[in-house]
Amino acid sequence: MSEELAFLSLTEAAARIRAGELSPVAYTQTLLDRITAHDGQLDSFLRVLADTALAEAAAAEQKIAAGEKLGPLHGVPFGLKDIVDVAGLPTTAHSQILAQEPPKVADAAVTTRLRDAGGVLLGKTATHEFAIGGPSFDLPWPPARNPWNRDRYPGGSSSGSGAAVAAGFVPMAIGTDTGGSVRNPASCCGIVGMKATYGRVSRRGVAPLSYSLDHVGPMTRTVADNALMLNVLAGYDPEDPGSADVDVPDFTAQLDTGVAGLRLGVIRHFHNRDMIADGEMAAALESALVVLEDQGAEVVEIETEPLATYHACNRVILLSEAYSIHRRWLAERPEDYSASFLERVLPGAFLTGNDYVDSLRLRRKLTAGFNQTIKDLDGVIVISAMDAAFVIDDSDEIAKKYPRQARIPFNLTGNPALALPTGFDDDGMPLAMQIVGKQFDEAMIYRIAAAYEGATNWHQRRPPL
Amino acid sequence: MSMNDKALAQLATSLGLEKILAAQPELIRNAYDNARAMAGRLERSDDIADEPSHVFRADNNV
Repeated sequence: MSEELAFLSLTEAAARIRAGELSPVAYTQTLLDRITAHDGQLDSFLRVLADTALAEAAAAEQKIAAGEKLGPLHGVPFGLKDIVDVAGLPTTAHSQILAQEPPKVADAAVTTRLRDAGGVLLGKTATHEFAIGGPSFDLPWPPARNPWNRDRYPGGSSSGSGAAVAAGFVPMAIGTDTGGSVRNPASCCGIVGMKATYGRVSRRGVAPLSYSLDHVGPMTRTVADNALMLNVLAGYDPEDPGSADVDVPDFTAQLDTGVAGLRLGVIRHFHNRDMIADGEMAAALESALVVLEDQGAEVVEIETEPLATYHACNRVILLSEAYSIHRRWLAERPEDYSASFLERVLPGAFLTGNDYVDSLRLRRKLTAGFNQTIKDLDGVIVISAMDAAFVIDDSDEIAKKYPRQARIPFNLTGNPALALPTGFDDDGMPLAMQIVGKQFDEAMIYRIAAAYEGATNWHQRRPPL
Repeated sequence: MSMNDKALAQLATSLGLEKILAAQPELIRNAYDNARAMAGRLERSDDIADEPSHVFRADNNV
């Protein structure tokens, strides 16, 4: 029974709570018990807020009893990557640099939105240091591990959020994505992660890695749950300079519409020419295309710029902006960073102003070119990573496989992109693909993803904890 | 663009990276070489009309 409760979808849990069939307190306690039993093996949480979560759940229960108006996430627990602010708690970014910082005075925008929708904050989840340096074993807390095999990497940088959702510790969590950090753990852990259009979800109160590439996004076990969560998260925030003042549709509205008649592009050269993907990963993507075609979608192959062009552009922007953020600490407290963080971010010190401006000039061209390429399509299918999750403590393998991914282009262009599972390899590790959409057309991505998910059962498998 | 160790040490010092330079000079060298290699892979435009994207306009990329 507790296993069934732990793996309830967000949509189902919210519906049962609203109908008075599930107690928020009992549900929260079940998840807390599961964390106590298993998270010692996974280290997905940096901080579990058992007492306050139970108090929030009790308050949620009282609201139901009083017949008050309930939000769409009423009584459902969630996790927050620990670069997201919560009033009264420190935000550590999984780093010694911030480990002794005082508590924050205000919630991040997404924290507020989840709370206002009735969500119950269960805890703060592990991350790569400042959302980039990891997986690292030289930090104040250990790295999160993959629930499908704890010797494997869970993806990052939203590692703890991905592991916690996949393990049945929470039905939803917040991740952030600057070069794929929502979609990477989603892919490695066999869950659904959305990087919505740049500007769709407020970044206020989230520790920055790269101002112009950072996105905040929902991580869940199903497509419908993800759409429901984005309904809550999306919206204009005048206090976020990158926030977009655009209409927010109901992202769940088209979930049952199917893909018959849709025209989908597939970019194969990312994984069969620019980089060579593992055979099982590539085969899973081809199988997914057949599933979509069988439901009436037309699939056409398209080409865009080589992956290396996107990667070079992204790295210069990301590291220039990240160095600007960390410049003072790198000068004064370098010993408080992990080796991995220093290795990745320090090159930003030696990029020039001209490098940065030229990368922004290239970004504009890449973005215009990509949007022109997809203008007559409803969505685009792209591989997520070239490989399934690798061994977490093999530094050679990390160095080799960490950059082998096709998520970065859409941080540059700002297009929405969702990662979801496409199967499992012979070692039992999740495989994944991305569905990419036009700017601010996340609803179409969810429509395509729901059609695929409805014809497969990958999302119903559970990790062997 | 290569740089000898002395010049690189001066550059790192000018950036306030003396602590890292003293403790891990090879990290400074690797960071510099990686940065220049990264910049070298960047496709650059010779068309002066090619403007940069504007960071804080959310609709810039649309």
